[in-house]
Formats: sequence, structure tokens, C-alpha cells
Amino acid sequence: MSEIENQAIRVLLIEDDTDDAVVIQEIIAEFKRPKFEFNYRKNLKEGLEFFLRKEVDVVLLDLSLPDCRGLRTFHKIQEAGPEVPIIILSGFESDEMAIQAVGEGAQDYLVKSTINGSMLFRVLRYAIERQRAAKRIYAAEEKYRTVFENSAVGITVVDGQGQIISWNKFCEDLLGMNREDLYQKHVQTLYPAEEWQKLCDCKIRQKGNQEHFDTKMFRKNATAVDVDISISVLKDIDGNITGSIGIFRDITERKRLERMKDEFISTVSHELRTPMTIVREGVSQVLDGILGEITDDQRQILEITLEGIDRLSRIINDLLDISKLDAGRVELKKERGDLKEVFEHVGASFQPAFENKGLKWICDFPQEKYEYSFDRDKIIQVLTNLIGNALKFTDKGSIAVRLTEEPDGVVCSVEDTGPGIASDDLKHVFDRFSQFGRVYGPGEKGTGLGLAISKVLVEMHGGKIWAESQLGQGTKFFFSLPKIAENG
Amino acid sequence: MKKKILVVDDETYISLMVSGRLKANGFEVVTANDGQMGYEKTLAEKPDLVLLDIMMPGVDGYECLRMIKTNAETAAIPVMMLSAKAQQADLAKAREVGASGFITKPFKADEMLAQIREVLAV
Repeated sequence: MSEIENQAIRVLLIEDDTDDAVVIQEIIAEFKRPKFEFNYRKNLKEGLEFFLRKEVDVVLLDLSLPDCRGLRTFHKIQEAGPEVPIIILSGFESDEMAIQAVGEGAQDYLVKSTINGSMLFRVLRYAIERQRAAKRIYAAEEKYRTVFENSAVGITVVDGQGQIISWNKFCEDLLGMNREDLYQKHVQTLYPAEEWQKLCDCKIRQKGNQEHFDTKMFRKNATAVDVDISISVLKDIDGNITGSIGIFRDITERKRLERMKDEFISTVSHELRTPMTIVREGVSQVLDGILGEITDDQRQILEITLEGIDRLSRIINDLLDISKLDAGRVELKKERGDLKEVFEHVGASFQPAFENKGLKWICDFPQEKYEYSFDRDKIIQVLTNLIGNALKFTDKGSIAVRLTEEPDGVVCSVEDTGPGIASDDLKHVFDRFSQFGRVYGPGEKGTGLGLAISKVLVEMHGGKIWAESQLGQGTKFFFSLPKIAENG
Repeated sequence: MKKKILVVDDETYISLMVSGRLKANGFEVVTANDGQMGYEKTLAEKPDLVLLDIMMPGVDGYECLRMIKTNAETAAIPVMMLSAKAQQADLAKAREVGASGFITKPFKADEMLAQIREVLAV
């Protein structure tokens, strides 16, 4: 049961014709649910007095009153209470004035000679329901306007042609701009050229979704400010794109800290590498016999020492890599290329190691060519990591690589016949420094960062990476790369 | 005749290690411990190759490389960077200024020697 049915609806009829008023009163008296409380005044003056003194839910208004005629009658009541619905009572079937009043905000109009119970009931109820719905919409809008205006983020609303049509106070403050700088200006004017190009490359409107990224925006004084922005496409009820909303924050401070962190990691890495070089080369020279003969025991210890140093060196490289990836400072240099060729290239570099361990190397590439768009060095890095892992943990059997084309891209896999990974561990296989389950034999030890790095690199390509494994059944790592977009 | 290599590094122990390795492999070695001295010794010694660190106080490796490459007397001498700075940008910059190669620290002696021999064509 709706709210309207619980309380009496207060109707005010302003009508100078007593006969008409009696007819309407009698009709209204018949209404049972909801109940109506009927009030009646003969002229505008009394009507207005009542209207201002008492609460009224709906007004039935004759436009021709002894003390006021025409649209002015409607305007007077409307001014006195713009939130109260007004229904015009008209004398004729096609009353231009009544229709005009509806155009100016009256809820409806009724031709007096045709009024009957069900019609009046319906019109009154609808008038009130519509008014309440409008109030709810207004309240909701008001709520969002408050959020919009008081957000501590800049917000711009752009129409279908890319013109700025709305923005909030924070946007003005952040960019140091005012209405003159923003209203109906193309949103492109807010971005440095290369940043605008990047934005266009995201094809947000074509994709019709939301994108989040770091960029730069112009301030009024033509200096650029670092922001992170989230752009959402606006659509009408039929799904047509009508514009977009950009929500952005100043990230100058974050960028400064990122730079500091990068510099710090870079400096620390450099500082670590210098003593490592001395230790490594010192140990190597003794091991190589440059400084005289050594015993087998000495040799063994020095070889282990050297492995430790090399591992430390890999950890530093991986840490540098991941810190750059985290800071978003790695850009892909994507080019069209043949994945099969890349797989064969990486495979070839592992041949001596496969032969050493007596492992079979299986390539399963059913097609002649697999043309995709990717950063060759980065995909080599991913593949080297996956094959390196497989090699590390597989003592007998084979390592197989496969390429499988699917409707939206290609799935690459590296499969080994090693001991497998327990399902609990499998969940964390792409976490940083997660090394578990697999027992190390002699040889190169990992850094615990390789798969984490691979994951970021694959995702930067718009692909996914995942693993399947069962203890005793070997492990399969997969990664996908999306198809080359039609237009590029 | 022995090929002469100039090792420029501000870290004395690195110079010591690199020199030891090079001498053990039949090279003649001279050293310098900053960029300015590196440039002066390049002029004076006319080595067959310069192994040049990047991060050094005063005249750094890039600047030293630029000085060597812009002086007609030394421009033809191949210079290989030997540095702990190993990011793509560093490699690109070194190549731009005229380096013939890039060895990252910590280096593997075999790989370093192979690169040196390739540049010297010995």
C-alpha cells in the first residue's frame, strides 16, 4: 500500500460557480480510499488565504474568478506554493489557456462538463503521485549535486561533442580556472597534446566503459599538474553515448614520493652493485686459478659463494624492475610480430640446459604464424621466466610450449612434468617473494619476483596469466594476449 | 703486441679487480680514478680501449666519454661503459654519446672479456 492511501488528501477547490463546486464536492465525497478532505473557496483572495494558512496537497483551480482571470490566476497560486500540484478546471474542450498553464507547470487540466468520478479520482491521485515522484527526484538530484559540488576531487561533465558543460568548485580550484575558461570549451584544451593523444588511444568512448589512469592537465597559467583521472562514459536510456564524466585528483605529492622511491631504489641498487662486483670478481679470480691452484673443497665453496652473489644480483635487478612497474614507469614498445618466432628464439637459448638435464623440448604450434602486437623484450622476459621455472623444477620428462588461437586472442602455455604445486600454494604463485612447495635442487635459485613481474607485464599487454597444477602431475602456466585491434 | 686498456673507475678495488683480470688475460692495463684523469690518460696513453665507469665524482662517465669522442685525437678509441647503472635509459644514453658497448656490474669475467675482444677484434 502506498503512502498516499494512509492519509487524507487535502484538496482545495477555487471556483466561483457554486453548482460546479457542489458537483465536484459530491464526487469527491464518494472516494473511499484514500480519503479526501475537501475545501472550497469562491475567489482567488480567499483561496490564496486558505492556501497560505493551511496545508494543501492539491489545488483544483478555475482560471476565471471574480477577482482574477486567466493565467495570472494560475501564476498567483503557483508562486504561493510551487511544490503543490495544480489542476486547471476549464470550461471548454480545447482551452488554449488551460493547455498553456500545463505547459507552465500545472499538473493537468479537466473540462468541467466532462468530469466524472473515476476521471477526477485518477487525475487527483496522479497529480499527487507525480508531484511526490518529482520531489524524490529533486531530493536525489540535490544529494548528488551536493556530492558533486563538495567533492574533494575535480569533476567535469562533457557532452557528446566533447564540450565541457558542467564542473565543480574543486575543478576550478585545482586548475585555477573559472566559467570563462571552462564553459563549452572542448575538453581537449585541458590536456597537453601528448596526454590528449594517450587519452584518445584509450578509446574510452568506443569501449563504452570506465578507464582510470595517470595523466597531466593544464592549469590556467599553462603549467601542467599531475592528476589521476577516472573517465566514465554517460549513456542515455537506449545506450547511446551522450558524453562523459571525468573525476580527477592532484597527485603531485604522490609523484614526488614515487620519484624519491625510484631514486632511492636506484641509488641503493647502484651502491650494492659496486661491492658485489668486487666480491664476485675476487671470488671468480681465485676460482679461476689466476691467483694459484685451489683444492676441490675450496672450489666447491667458492662456486656456492658465486651462486649466492649471482642470486643477489638477480634480486636487485628484479626489485628495480618491479619498482619501475609499480611506478607505472615502464612503457611497452608494442610492435606486430610472430609469437612463434619469439618462442623458438627463447627455446633455443635453453637448448643446452634441456640437453644437460635430458629433458625433451616440445613445441606445439599448429599454425605457420601467430601475428600479434606485443613488446618483444617483455614477452621474452615472461617466457624466459616461465621456461626457466619449468626447467628448474623438472628433472625428467619434458617441457612443452603451445600456442592456441582463440576467438579473442592467443593462449600461450608452458607445461612441465615436474612435481607440481599444491593447490593452496597455487593461489599465491603470482605473489611477490612467494617461494614454496617446490624443493630446490642444485642450480640457479629464483628471486621470488619473476612470476609477479610476468603477471604485470602480461596484464600491461591486456592479457591474463594463470597456472594449473596438481601434485605429481606437473604444472601448466598460461598467458593470453589479445587480438590486434581492427583499427590498429 | 699487447693491447692496452685504460680502466677508469673511482672505486679503487674495482680497478684492482678489473686490472687483475685483464692482466691475467694478456692485456696491458693503465688506470685512472675519475673522469678528468680518464680523459687526460686517454690523450696521453692512447690506449686501444677505454673501460669507463659512469657514476664518478666531478667529471662523470658520460662527460668523459663526450670529451674523448669530441677530440679528434681520441675520437677513434673505442670506449666501453662498465657500470652498475644498467637501465635501458643508461644504455641508450651511452650509445648516443658514442660508447661501443656496455658491461653491467657485477659482471661475469667471461662475458666482459668476450665483449672486449669483440670490440678489439682480437
